[in-house]
Amino acid sequence: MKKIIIKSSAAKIVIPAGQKVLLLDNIGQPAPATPANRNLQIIIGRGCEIQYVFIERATRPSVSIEQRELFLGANSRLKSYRVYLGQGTSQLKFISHLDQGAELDSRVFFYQSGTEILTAEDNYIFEAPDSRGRFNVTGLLSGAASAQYYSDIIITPVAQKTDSRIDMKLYLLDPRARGVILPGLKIAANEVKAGHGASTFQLSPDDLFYLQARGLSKEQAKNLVINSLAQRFVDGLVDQELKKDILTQIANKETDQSIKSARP
Amino acid sequence: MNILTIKNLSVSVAGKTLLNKVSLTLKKGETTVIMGPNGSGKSTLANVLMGHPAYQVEAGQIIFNGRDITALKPEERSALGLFLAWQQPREIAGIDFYPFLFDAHKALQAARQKRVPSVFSFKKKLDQEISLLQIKEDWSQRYLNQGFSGGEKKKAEMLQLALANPQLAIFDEIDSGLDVDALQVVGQAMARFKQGAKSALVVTHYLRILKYLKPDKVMVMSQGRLVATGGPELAKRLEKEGFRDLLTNS
Amino acid sequence: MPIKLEKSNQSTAGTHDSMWDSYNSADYMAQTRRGLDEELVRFISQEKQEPDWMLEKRLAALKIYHTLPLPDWGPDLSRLDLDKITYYARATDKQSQTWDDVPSDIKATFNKLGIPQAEQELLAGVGAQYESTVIYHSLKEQFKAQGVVFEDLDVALKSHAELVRPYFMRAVPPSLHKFAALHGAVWSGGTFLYIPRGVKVDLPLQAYFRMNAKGMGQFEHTLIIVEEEAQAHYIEGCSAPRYGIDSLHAGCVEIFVAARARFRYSSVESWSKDAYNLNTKRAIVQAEAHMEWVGGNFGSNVTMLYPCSVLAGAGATADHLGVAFANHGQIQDTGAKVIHLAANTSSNIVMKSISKDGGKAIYRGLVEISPAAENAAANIKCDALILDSRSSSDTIPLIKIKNPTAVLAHEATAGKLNEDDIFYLRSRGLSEGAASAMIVNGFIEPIVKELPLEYAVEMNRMVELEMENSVG
Repeated sequence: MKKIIIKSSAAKIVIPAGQKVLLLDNIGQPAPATPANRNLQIIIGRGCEIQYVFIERATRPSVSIEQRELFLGANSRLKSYRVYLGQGTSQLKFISHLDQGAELDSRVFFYQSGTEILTAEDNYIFEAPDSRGRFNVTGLLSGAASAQYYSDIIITPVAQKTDSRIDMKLYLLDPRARGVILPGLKIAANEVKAGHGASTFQLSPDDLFYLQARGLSKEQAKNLVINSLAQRFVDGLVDQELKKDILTQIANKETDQSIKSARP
Repeated sequence: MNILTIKNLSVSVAGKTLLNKVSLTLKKGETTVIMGPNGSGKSTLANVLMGHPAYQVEAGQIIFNGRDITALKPEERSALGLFLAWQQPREIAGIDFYPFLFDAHKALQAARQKRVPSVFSFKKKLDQEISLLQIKEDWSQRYLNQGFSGGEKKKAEMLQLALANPQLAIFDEIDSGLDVDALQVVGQAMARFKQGAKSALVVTHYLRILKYLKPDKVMVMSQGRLVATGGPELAKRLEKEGFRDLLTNS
Repeated sequence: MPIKLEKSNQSTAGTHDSMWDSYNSADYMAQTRRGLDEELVRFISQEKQEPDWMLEKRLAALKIYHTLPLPDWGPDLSRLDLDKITYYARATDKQSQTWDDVPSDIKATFNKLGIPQAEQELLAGVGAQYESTVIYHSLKEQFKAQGVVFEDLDVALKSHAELVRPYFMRAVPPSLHKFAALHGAVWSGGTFLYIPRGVKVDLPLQAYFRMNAKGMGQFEHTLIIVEEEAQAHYIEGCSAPRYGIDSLHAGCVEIFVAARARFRYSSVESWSKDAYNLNTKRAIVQAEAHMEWVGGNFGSNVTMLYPCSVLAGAGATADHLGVAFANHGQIQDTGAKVIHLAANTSSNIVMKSISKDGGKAIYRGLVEISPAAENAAANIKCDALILDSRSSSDTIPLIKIKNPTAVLAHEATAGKLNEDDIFYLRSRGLSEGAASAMIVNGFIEPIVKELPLEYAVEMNRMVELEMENSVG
């Protein structure tokens, strides 16, 4: 797969038809002095096979506002991995448009700790028939972090025979964490399969006891869960280096929690 | 007298041809068996005879009891005396089983311009058929086909058959998924049905069911065409030799 | 980033001021009298000879009304001109409408549903009084013996002030939203139901049991108090189309369920004319108590209805079961709200919606698990049937989690009738219409089975009628 690293100055990326590309967004960029505020459009040509990775990393500045608008051309396939590990306040909006026969497999993993605040919005707009979408959001909140994640699947009247599903899972690790999720469905076509699920995730007292009886502390048990969720998230990413990088960042966030408040 | 005549029937779905110029006749009171490998079009034929809206009739005719039913709706064919016992009966949530049976029965009686029975006389008939089918469990709390085992589903189809009292019953792989005991009950029910000088079209993969029904004619389908016709001895030959010979020769 | 929920379009809603006769008392009630101000509120209170405390509550609500804006979410209410509405008319004046005024399609529907003449008149707002005399009288005796109070609220606020006063508008305070404040100022008529401690009323209590019941008024207030360990079931409304001459309904239902009590509130509503149906219904549920909302919403131009359960005591539970059917030109914006305030509370929401011929069904829900709600459990299931390509369905479930021990699962699906299911039923002799209606009834069966038989039958018949009812 061809690798393209999106420059921070880019406003629009166009990928011609039939390409196989790994698109890296927000990766390895030096943190700018002023808060980023970017609108980027990504146009994916027909029949493309794309892996798109967006990482909002913990070294980003304290206020981060980003918007991405993706246009999936007919019969294109996009596997999207988004990791939100921002420190401070983040507002992230992703809009995806699906043309005929397009397929979108979108995964989001977010992890906020301390007093971090995430406001995220995803719109998946099905604009033509026969397209398919599977959307997953897994979120971890610790300390007194809070997240508001609104997601909308919008099926327009012409988008018959589409198949879409969103699943949101929220894992609160501490009593002061706060999460608000909204898996929305706005459906104006009737020959569709559309569904969504949302749930909370926690280690049951029995599960915890089992792990502790095997020698793990409560903290270690929680980290075990976080790491297995992270592993599941990166599954399928072609670039092994990137996979390792993401897993490392998530692991760092776990251990950094206690020293986070010392950062400026 | 012919109960069913199919003339050069060609049928497609989403542009793909599934039945190719199929012609056959069934004599009234006879049992015809249709066999063939998977994908041969036997189940398609069964569904098309009943009027499944997803299939496009490209050419040909279906004449039932002297009447052209090619363009008729499923409920109209049902009223005329056609019944299809499904291979995988639909499980429909929230529809109480017995009230459904009563509603369907009333609709058929009305369409056939017969007297619509009271719920009491219907219940009597229902109980009769339930005991003939050796249904021991209490199905009164169940929904339509939900929570029914494979064998129970087939028995439920036979129950509906008995209540619908058709002239021609089409059995789409009625014997699939049945254990020896259930097969006996179902087979006996089919035999009982035939006693009333009724006609049967049995689509099947296996020959076990023929223990209970003597076939008058055996037909073989392959790739949407009728490729062989014969008497009961054809069935025996297929049982011994399988389809391959027959198909490579056609 | 505030959430932007769309405003929808809908057809005209007019007021019907020409229906009102002139009154022979003060000029307040002259035909041209519209809009809302302090004079009108005082007049209402005086007409009813209310105690001072009620007048004070009304005036306080009016003050709040003037400070609140219209809600900026939900269906488009911009055509609702609050200054043009007549807010009060004496009960007897409603009788000026005669049976002849009722449109023939309404009468036809009544006949199709097999509703007796007297009941038809009541539903059309023309009956003087509906007395199910025998039933009601014997009930009255039984109630007196048990201490159950089932009375007009106008009457109860005087005869049972010590019960009404502490509870009135405590579950739905005027500050909740503009229509609650409006309601607080001009409410008129309604039901008071009081079940004393430990009393279990087996018979479902229905609104029209009461003497002098006139059907759902514009700003009717229902106040229900269920004391500890008591049990009852109250049914409001009926599934037959209600012909209302009012264009705005801003009623209120408040239910207080004390510890270990059980209460069910069922309501099947169908408004047949252009009407804005914006009622607020809320229950406060105490420790180990159980609250059930069972509802069906048909008809009407715009309905906004989100029954709310506040699980205030430990171990409190709530079930919300609802069906909404949006036919041509209708918007059913309904849902459920559950707020878990205490530990070990649990809630279950099952919502089914059907949209047809361009109708729009919207589920708007809120489940909130607050920090103190240890080990709360919430289950939500929403299914939408979109019968044709002109219709639509939105599901907007807001989930707020503020406690890590919460167990929550939300699941929603949307789609159309299964073709094979229809074919199966048709192959058994049912027409396409009958098969579709049967499947739709099967779809809503989990909710319908919780209604008393005659309501269940009516709800099924309503569905069949709605299914038959096609746009030409």
